[in-house]
Amino acid sequence: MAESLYQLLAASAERYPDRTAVDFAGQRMTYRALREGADRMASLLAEFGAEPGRQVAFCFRKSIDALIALFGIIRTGAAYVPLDPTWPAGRCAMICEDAGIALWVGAAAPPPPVRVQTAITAAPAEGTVPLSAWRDSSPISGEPPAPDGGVANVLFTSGSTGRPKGVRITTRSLLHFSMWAVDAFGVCPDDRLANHAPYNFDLSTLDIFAAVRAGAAVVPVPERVKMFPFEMARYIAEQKISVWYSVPSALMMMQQRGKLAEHDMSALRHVIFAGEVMPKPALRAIARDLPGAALTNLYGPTETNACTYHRVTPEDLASDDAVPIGRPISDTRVWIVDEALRPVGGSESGAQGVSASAGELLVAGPTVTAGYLGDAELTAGRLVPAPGGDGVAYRTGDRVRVRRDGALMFEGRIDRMIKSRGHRIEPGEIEAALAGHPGVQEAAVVALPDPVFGSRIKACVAPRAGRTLTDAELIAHCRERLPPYMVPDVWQYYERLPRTDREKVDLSLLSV
Amino acid sequence: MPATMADTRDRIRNYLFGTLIPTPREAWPADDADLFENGMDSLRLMQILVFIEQDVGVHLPDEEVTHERMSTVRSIVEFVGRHRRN
Repeated sequence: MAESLYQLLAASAERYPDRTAVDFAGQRMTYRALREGADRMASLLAEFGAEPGRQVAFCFRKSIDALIALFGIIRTGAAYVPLDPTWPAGRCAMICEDAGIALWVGAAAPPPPVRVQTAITAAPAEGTVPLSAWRDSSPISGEPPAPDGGVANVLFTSGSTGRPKGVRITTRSLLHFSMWAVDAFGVCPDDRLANHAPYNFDLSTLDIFAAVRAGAAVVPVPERVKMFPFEMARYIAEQKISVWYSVPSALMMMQQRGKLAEHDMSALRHVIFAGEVMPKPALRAIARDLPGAALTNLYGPTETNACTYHRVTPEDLASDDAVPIGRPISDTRVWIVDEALRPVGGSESGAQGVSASAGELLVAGPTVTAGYLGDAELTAGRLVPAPGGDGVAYRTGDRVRVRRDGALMFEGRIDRMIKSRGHRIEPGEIEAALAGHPGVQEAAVVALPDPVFGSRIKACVAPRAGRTLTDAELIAHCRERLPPYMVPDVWQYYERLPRTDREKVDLSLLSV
Repeated sequence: MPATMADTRDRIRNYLFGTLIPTPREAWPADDADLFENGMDSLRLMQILVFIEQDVGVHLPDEEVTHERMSTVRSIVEFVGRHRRN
């Protein structure tokens, strides 16, 4: 195995120097050029403090610059912390503060109130260092840092306490996952992997690191394309994408409005989806419209990257059962446990046992997170001793059972987490944002099922006495504090939220 | 602007900023403001397409639904207007 993620790039640059590493919006960059760019970028970043043990804010839309910066950060041994340009400035500031970030690399300058020591930006801005300065920097010298349990990136996800939590993804995790993916999907230098998911989404790591490991091309999907189903389908055809990985809702939109059958999809040999449940009728329609593509369902929370997978079979398409989440990826162990974390099914070798009972899924293996940044208590609650006492396992919070043939079946959450458009959302974070509005007495958030997007978010709000609240007022409040996908879609007002006989908010009455 | 275009504009604006992306009326974006900078996302894009088809009564061909045509109120109204005439 290569020693570091940078060495995946270096190895491909040695073997395939003139092959395309990145193909974006008419611009191509070879592996030789990407490596040289990363080396020079690393030199610039190191000048401003990037080094092992540090976190660097990384705020880009899709671009070649972004990938040079990403590998530049990796080359220094620092961890990249992806921030989405659509997130509110306050959320970015909170994350930068929690991650102790001093260095920002992005398309644009950090918006106030984000405070960093140095900002390196593509767009010229007063007080920032131009990103293009990497071209004049000397390539960084010295050996790249070995992984040794180091953290490659920190992915911030919704937090139930009202503050996003930083999941520490190790270099080891990404090395192992990319190695597994190259093998499982047969990724080779002739492949072209679309990069659709934003960088703050763990899905993007397959596209980037599996492609680079194999010497294949990464083909980022432009922002102007990714929300438009027909444009996306045309992009796949014109760009001769061979491996596509996205959330099911993107695929479903393409199937419904992208006229997949009208495009030349002959290059597309594998379609991978993850992040939410794929409805069976939609899967059948996709299989019908993309007859030349294998279909694979990947499963895994951010904390494990993908930890199980299932290749869709003709029998799956014929059956009315849900699509399995399948079996563990290599070197990964899973257990189904009860509330006391005692195994009730599954097995260390990959859920071979047959169990009628359902329970929470525990996962142990090389892709499991190193824990939450700066939150030892939360880490201790989610990373528990693996059954049998060998290492630690991550509590997914997902309820699963084992099918007769050994495949794992997802049955829902054991907590209140919502999945919408592939994003995981803690209702508590939205409720905390709403509770910060001076006119809100109490608020609760529930999911409403949606056939394409998984869930829509419903906010149930009781105003303070004498106050009248409007959707517009609360949405404006939320948009200043939450990412767009966490702003509720549906609003309902109550004099007082309904209660159970134990005086807890009765969520079951709110979901209608 | 012909009456039907003005009516279409009002209906689309009312739906966009009254229902889809509820916004205080005094803060409704201008007709040439970028909707994707003002709360439009993939879910809402699908919803506005359904609204235009079902409530405005105009079918927009999927192959013509692009960022350029859907990024502002003005471009949407022009897009709808072209297909209403067709």
